[in-house]
This record gives sequence, structure tokens and C-alpha cells, in this order.
Amino acid sequence: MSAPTLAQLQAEFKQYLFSGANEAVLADQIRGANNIDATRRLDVYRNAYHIRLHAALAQDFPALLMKMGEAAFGREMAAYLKVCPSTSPSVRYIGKQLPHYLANRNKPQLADLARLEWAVLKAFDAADASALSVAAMAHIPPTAWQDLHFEAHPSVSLLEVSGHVFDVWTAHRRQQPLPERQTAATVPLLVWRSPGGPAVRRLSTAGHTLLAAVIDGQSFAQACVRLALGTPPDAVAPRAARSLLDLLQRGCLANTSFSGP
Amino acid sequence: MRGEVALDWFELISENFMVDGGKPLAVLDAVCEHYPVALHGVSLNLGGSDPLDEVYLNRLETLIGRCEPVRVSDHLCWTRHGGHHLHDLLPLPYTQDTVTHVAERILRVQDRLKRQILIENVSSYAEYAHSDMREYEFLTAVAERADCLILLDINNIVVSAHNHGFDAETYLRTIPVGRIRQIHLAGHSISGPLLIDTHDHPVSDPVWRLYAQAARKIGATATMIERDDAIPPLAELLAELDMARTLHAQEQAA
Ligand SMILES: [Fe+2]
Repeated sequence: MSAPTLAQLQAEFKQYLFSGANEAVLADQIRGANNIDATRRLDVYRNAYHIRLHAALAQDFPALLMKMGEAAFGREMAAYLKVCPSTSPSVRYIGKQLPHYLANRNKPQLADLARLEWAVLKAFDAADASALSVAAMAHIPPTAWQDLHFEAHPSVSLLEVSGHVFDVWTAHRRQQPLPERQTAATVPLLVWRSPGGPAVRRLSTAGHTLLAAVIDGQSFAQACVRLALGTPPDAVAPRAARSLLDLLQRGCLANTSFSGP
Repeated sequence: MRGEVALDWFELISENFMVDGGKPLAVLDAVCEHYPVALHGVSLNLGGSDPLDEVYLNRLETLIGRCEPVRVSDHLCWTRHGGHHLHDLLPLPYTQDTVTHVAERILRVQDRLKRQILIENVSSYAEYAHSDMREYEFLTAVAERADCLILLDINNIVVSAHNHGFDAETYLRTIPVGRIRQIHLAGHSISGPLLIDTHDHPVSDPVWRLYAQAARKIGATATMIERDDAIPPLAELLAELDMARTLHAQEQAA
């Protein structure tokens, strides 16, 4: 038998780490020196691969782990790693496909919870950008407000998750027992990097509308039009102003642009 | 962070800082402001058959520009295949063909980064049937051919010598000591007949003994103990990074 090429050997080894099914084939390529047989040697690598990646997923998705329980989480993550192996040099991104994977598995609540925890990770190490200050607003000429565009800070995510998922996440964070009661409605959540670290906050309807418009690249005026749907006319301006101030004070807006003088 | 920690330099895992911003890069800048750093990578895939990852090299180049490290190192192993990262330091066949392949890749990386890199010997648990060199012959041949430097991990020598039945002192006698620029020490654990490189035990007596021999041969060399529950100042730094990952979330508004 001729020696395998490096690429063949590595393809075989990778398949072995993923599934273990080709153990006998790979073991044929391994020297069983010192009376330690090849499969025992290979086991070290396969165990380490799974332990390492499970530990990374457990660290990144602690509320999901608590919600599912150790055993179910372990099984689901083993299945996830088969379908979505790592494509990043850093283990930091091992969970990137998990929300999508869980949604495809028809587990919408678990997918929501994974999405929320992934957004928290993004808030931790998203790009830096100087936040737009409330004071900077004073320098915008009144005529410019009509066409004013804001940009969300890179750490910002806007999510809609089921109320139950938010309750579960909150209870986990407070180290309280997880709630059983299901709440049907979805809640809009703002996730961003506060000075103290990643933060999550439930948004008002007006806050949700405004932030969604900013993320869609709409102007402040367009956002107010959206907000006017279902809002008493005289409440639109104060609600828009309050929501804008809230986003500014939390450092969630990074930039602004307007055309004209 | 001020320069009050009694350490000469910091070794940073390159991949931990290949993120866009936030706390990791703030910690990086704070460390670099007061200490020399060595960048230690785990995913360069020098022994891989996938092409060298240009995106990874770009990020490494950016990181080097940001912290001006005194040394840049990675491992003599493979870590990815078919676009999939395996997050482990996997063993290579020790043959002349592999020497040529790996050395060419190291030369390309050194050209790209405009500096010599250090390659580290890894702990291994399996050797391939078609290997026709010893690990120390392989390391020597690669380092000579690529004209690169060496990060010698003394614990990894002890672990691999035990697992594959070679003589650790012969290892030390064979390799080109003039290329060694850094040393790693660590603890290992015992799993049946195999020694496993786990970084969660104190440095063992055989490792200290081999280190003493190496130190006599090599002279003063930057040495670091890899320990996961480590020397206090470093542990504090890592704990800080970890703590920042745990939430500081504000209370939910009503
Ligand atoms: Fe090491």
C-alpha cells in the first residue's frame, strides 16, 4: 500500500474527528508503538475535539444550556457540529450558525435564545466607534432634521424574541429558577455595548420603530412617518424625541449625516 | 493597567485578538503600552494542505502592526482542512515531502510578514506509519530549510518522548539550539499509557530536569509557564477579560 498524500491523510483525519466512522481506515495509518494501539491514540484527538468545542459552546450559550439541560444540550451541539463545523480560525465564532441551525430544526424558542446570546457576544467585541452625543445634536441646523440619517453603533442589535425567551434569559442572568409560564407575544430587544459591557434592554414600541428605521437606513423624518401609524398625532413628536434621546444616552448611535447647508 | 506587574513580557494568543473591537482590543492596547508582547498563534495551519489563509494573514499583519510584538510564533502541525478549522494541533507525517511542504509555507509567511517566525514543537499522541524521520529530525530539517526560529516547548518534548518512545535528551542534542528564541514549560496529565498536554498540572520533575539541561545548552532564553490557573497577575488579567464577558446588563425597563 502506498503512503497517502498529505491532503488525503488530513481529509481522513478530519472525517474521523467529525464522525469517528472511519476509525479503522485511519488507524491503519497510525503506528501502534509502545504497546499503545492506534485507536487508543486517535481517541485522544477525537475526545479533545469534542470536549473543546462543547466547552466553547457552553460558555457562549449558558442560558441555552440551562434551558435545555446538560444531556439535551450535549446531543444538540454534537449534531450541530456535524452540520456546521468551524470555519473561523478563532473558536470565538463556533456558535455563529447555531441560531439558524436551531430554526431549521424547527425549535423557534431555542433559536430565539441562541440569537439573543449571540447578539450579546457581538456586543462584547464588535468594532469600536465613538458614540454620538446628545450635545452634538445641538449643532444640527433645524432645516437639516428633515433629511437626517443616523447610524447604529456597530455593537447594536435589534431583536424580536418571544416574551418567554426573554424571561428565560433574564432569569438565567439573575441566577433565578427558569420560568415555566409561556408568554405568546414577542418583545423587541436592544442589545448593545454599554460602558460596563454588553447590555440588553426591552424597547418601547416607539423605540423599536425608530431603531428599526435607523438600521434600515431611513431618515429621521421617515422614521416619524412610520411611528405616526398607530400613534395619536400629537404624541408622535414627543415619543420620537424621547426614543432618540434614549438611544443617544445609551451610546447606541455612532454617526449622523445630512445633506445641504 | 500600569507597568507594576513583575513580568518581563506577555505572550498573547493571536486569535483572541482577531476581533473587531471592544474589551479584547482595549486589553491588548493596555498590555502593549507597558510590556513587550509575543504573539502566539494556534491557527496558522503551517502543516496544512489547504492554501495559506490570506484573510488570517491579513488579520495577523494588522495585529502585528497594532502591538509590534518582539516575537511571532505558531505550531509545527496542521489545524484546518477543506476550509474547516479543527481547533487542535494535529500531527504531521515526518517525511522529506512534508519537510519541503511545510518549509515552503513558512518561507511564504516570513516573506509576507517581513520577519522570522518561531515554530513550536507540539505534544502528539499518534505517529503515522509512513513517517521515516524522528520528530527532532523533522523539526531540525524544517527550521534549517525555512531559516526560521524555534519556540521549544520542554513539556511537549517530554510528553511526545513518552508517547512515542524516543529519548528526550537526544532531542535536545539534535535540534539547532541557536535558533531557539523562547521556551514553554507546562504540566501534563497521565491517561493510562499516554501523557496528555493539559496545562492544568504543575510543571513535572522530568520537565524541570530537561529544562535545566536546555538552559545550560541554550543560555538565557525567554521562558513562560503555560498554566491555565496561572501566575496571579496574568490570571487577574484573564479573569478581567472573562468577567467582561459576563453581563453587566442593565435592569430591564418596565
Ligand atoms: Fe507550548
